Parts: sequence; structure tokens; C-alpha cells
Amino acid sequence: MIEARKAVAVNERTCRRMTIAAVVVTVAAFLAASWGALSRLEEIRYDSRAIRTNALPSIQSLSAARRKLGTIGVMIAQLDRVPLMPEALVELRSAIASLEADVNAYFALPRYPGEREEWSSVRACIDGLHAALDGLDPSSVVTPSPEVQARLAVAIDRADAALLATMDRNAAEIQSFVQNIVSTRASALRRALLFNGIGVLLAALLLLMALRSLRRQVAAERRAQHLLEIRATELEAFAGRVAHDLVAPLTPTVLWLERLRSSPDETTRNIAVRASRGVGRVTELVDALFAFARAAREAHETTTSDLDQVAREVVSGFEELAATSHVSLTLESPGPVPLAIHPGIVASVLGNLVQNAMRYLGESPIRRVTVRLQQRNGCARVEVVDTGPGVPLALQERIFDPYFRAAGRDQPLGLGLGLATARRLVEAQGGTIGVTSFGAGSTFWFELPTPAA
Amino acid sequence: MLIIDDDEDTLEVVFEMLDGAGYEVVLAHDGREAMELLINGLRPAVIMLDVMMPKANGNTFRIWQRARPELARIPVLVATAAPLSKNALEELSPDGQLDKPFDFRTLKDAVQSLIDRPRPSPGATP
Repeated sequence: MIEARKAVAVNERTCRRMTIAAVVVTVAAFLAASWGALSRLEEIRYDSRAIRTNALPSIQSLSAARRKLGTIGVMIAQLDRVPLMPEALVELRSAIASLEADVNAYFALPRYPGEREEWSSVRACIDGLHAALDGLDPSSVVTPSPEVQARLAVAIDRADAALLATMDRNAAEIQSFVQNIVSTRASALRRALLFNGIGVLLAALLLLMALRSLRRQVAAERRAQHLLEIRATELEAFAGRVAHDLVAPLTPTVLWLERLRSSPDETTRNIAVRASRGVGRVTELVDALFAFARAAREAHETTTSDLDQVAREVVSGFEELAATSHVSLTLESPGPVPLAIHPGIVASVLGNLVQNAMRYLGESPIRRVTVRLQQRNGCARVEVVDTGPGVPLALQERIFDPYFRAAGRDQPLGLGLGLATARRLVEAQGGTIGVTSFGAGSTFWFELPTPAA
Repeated sequence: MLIIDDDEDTLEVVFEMLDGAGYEVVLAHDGREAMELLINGLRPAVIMLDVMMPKANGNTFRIWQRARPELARIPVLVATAAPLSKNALEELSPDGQLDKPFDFRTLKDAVQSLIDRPRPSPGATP
């Protein structure tokens, strides 16, 4: 039985752990996939920014500079046929200044490795153009010497080659960035798919394990319940056997004592009366033992009952005893109170409490036992109020323990199983039981859950 | 009347008291002995039956008895030490029940009420 309960508890824990692990793994995989994708996106953002703010403006500036260099080249190529007018010289200088502005705009952008040499080369060509033109008189019409023309042509060719090389370098950079973006995107996609795939697979695996664990738990619970039922049946059968073997021999004893009670000899009669009392106690104890054993079985039977009806039957069953013991036994009920509990269980609990109250009234001058039924939120409360001597506070905790009996010479004999049986029955139904007593009189009460409307 | 009980002391005292009260009493120590007595023609007005017995217990005896139309109508008083469960009571379906230990008045009243009870007609289901 204990093993079965342990198995249920272990399975419950495993199932809970598996489910938690499934959730954790799924969330972790999702976070890893998201983090991977975000870090890749950051790389793509860096690359595209480099293209937008550096490589592309470089190519634009260099392209403009090349166009202007082309115009300057055409102007210089005409010098061997047309003399250079002062206005034309100004125009040429201004074209070179404009070319220089484009080149400077390019110089202001961040450099790539190896670009410094190309910069120097472009710079040297422009300086060469300036130097060649500086030797000409700006105030008269001049025809530059073939040597000057050759220097100018060489400077323009070199500048063009340098600009082209720089443009190529920037184009190559753009291509490299684009390739990087493409491969980063592919790798981000792969990682996201991988992490999410792993997450989904692990979560599915863990959920599968949780499901299997749940199935095992259901089976373990069924086994535990089955064992409990077998144990309860065995206990009942055992108690029945014990009751039979103890009580059966009492039948001839009772009958012989009865014969002796009508003996002409007074001493014999007295002895017979005392012996009969002893036999009565033994019978009562065995009955209590049997009821306690049967409580375990009854606790597993479910059906419906009406508390009001059960209480009426119990009270009516005690009316004769109440009359002979001079006890005023009354029932206060609000009407039908439905319960999803076997009527035998309710009757057994209430019967125990009423019997207990009547038994322990002692020599109280006011002899009253009141059974009070109440229906509260979701539960039915039964109170058995007596005018007996009350239960000392120190005993109130222990009074429901099996084999506990109030000490004292005046106390009637009992086995101490009545209240223990009542508690066993009430708690098995998810209810509570207790006693309230301040000085004289006590209230034994129990509460049982009522079915949802 | 026929008393079936495995306890010799019970048989002895019940015999003495019922006999003293004017009843004609036959004793059987178990179900099988009772069956033999009934097969040999014994027709008691009432049978007092113990439940837990060796050699054919109370249930076996009742099944045997109910299966025989000539015996099925004999009223049976079940005397038991342990309270019977609902199922056990349904199986036995006794005409009367006596909780052990009982005093003589209770026994006599129970026996007499079964003797005085009007018998069902022979065609009726026992």
C-alpha cells in the first residue's frame, strides 16, 4: 500500500518535472533562435551601413571627378591647335579646382586598407596639373610648349588610372559587403531553423515523456485505489471473523446468566447480574471494533443522501434510550440538506456523536442533547450539543484518537473507538470534525462538503 | 424447530431453554447435517441458522434450501455475530435476523413471530 502511494507521488513529481522541462526547453530554444537572428541582423546592418555611408558616396565622388577629368583632358588636347586664351586658362583652372573638390569629398570619407597609396597617387596627379599650369602667363595668349603639353597629358592619364583603380577598390568592397550580407542571412536562417527545430523536437519528446508519466500515474493511482479497496474488504472480513469468534461464545454465556438471574438464591442472582453487565460491555466493545473496521470500507462507497432524513432516523433510533436515561433529545433542522455521501456513513458518524453525548452526560441535573443541522457555503454542519460536564481543553485534541478514553472512575467503560471511527469517516469524505467546550457542556460538530448545485 | 449452529454450547443452552418453553427442538452442527435431517423428512416450523460454519455455511444451506420447493417455504431466522453487509443479507434473504449474543426473550419472540406468521400459499414464490 505504502509502495503504491509512493509510486503515485513519484509519478506526480516526474510528470510535473517533465512538463516544466518541456516549457523551459521550448522557451530556451526560442530565445537562442531569436538571439542568433538578432546578432546576424546586426552584422547585416553594419555591412549595409558601410555600403550606404562609405563605398557608394566614394564611387559617386570618384565618378564625378572622372567626368571632370575627362573635360580637362579634352581642353588640354586642343592646346596644340588652339592657343590658350587668358579666359580659357581661368576656365581650365576652375575645372581643376572643381575636380579637386570632388577628390577632397572622397578623401573625407573613411579609408579602406590599401586606399592610402591610391589617394597619394590622385593627389600627386592634381599637383602635377597645377605645377604645369603655374608656368603659364595668365595675362596673355599663350601656346604651351610641347613639353608642358606632354606633362599635362601624362598627369591626366595617371590621374584617370588612379581614379579608376580607387573606383574598382570601392566596387570590390561593395561586392564583398553584399556577399557577406547574403551569407549572413543564410546562416541566420539556418541557425533559427536549427534552434527552433531542436526546441520543438525536445519539447515534443519531453511532452511525450510527461504523457507517459501521466499514464503511469493514472495506472498507479488505480492500483493504489484497488489495493485500498482490497485492504478495506480484508479488514472487514477479518473484523467479521474476530467479531464472530468473540461474540458467538457469548450467546450461551448470556443465556445461562439469564437462567441464573432467575435463581431463588439472591447471591447467585447478584453475581449473574454483574456478570451480565460484563458481557454487555464486551459485546459493545466488539461492536465498536467492527464499526471502526467497516468505516474504512464505507468510506469508499459513494451515493447521495439527505442529511435531514438521516438525522431524523438517527434521533428516532435513540428515542428509547433517551427516555430510559431521562434525556431530552431534540433535532433542529432547516429542512432537506443533500449530500453526495452514503447515508450509512452520515448515520454512523452522527450516531457515534449522539451516543457519546448521552453516555457522558453523567449526573448533570439538566439532561439535554440537541442535534442541530446547518447548511453553509458549500458545506453541511452538524452539531451535537450536550449539557454534560464538558471536555477539558487539554483533552480536546486527543479525544478523537483511537483507543483514547477520558480517565476517571466515574467514566463509563468504552473502547475509545467511537469518535475515532467518526473522524475516520468524516475525513475520508473531505470533511472536518471537532469539539468545542468551555466549562460545562460541549458541542461535538462535523462538516461535510455538499455537492455543487 | 431446527437449530443449526457450530457452537456446541450455544446448541445446548438454546435447546434447553426452548425445550423448557415447550418447543420441539432438533439440533444440527452444520449445514450438511441439517440438509441430511431435512432430506430424511424433518419439516420444522422454523429454522434458526448460524452463518459462519464449517461444512456448508449459512449461505450454502440457504441456496440448497431455496432450490427445493418442499423446503423453500420454511421460515429461516439468521443468527449472526458480525453485522451482515447489504450483499450478504441479499444473498441470505432471511425471514428474520437475530444479533448474537441474544437473550432468551428476544430469541423466543423472534421464533414465535415466525411461527405465527401466515405462510405463503404453495404456489407463491418463496
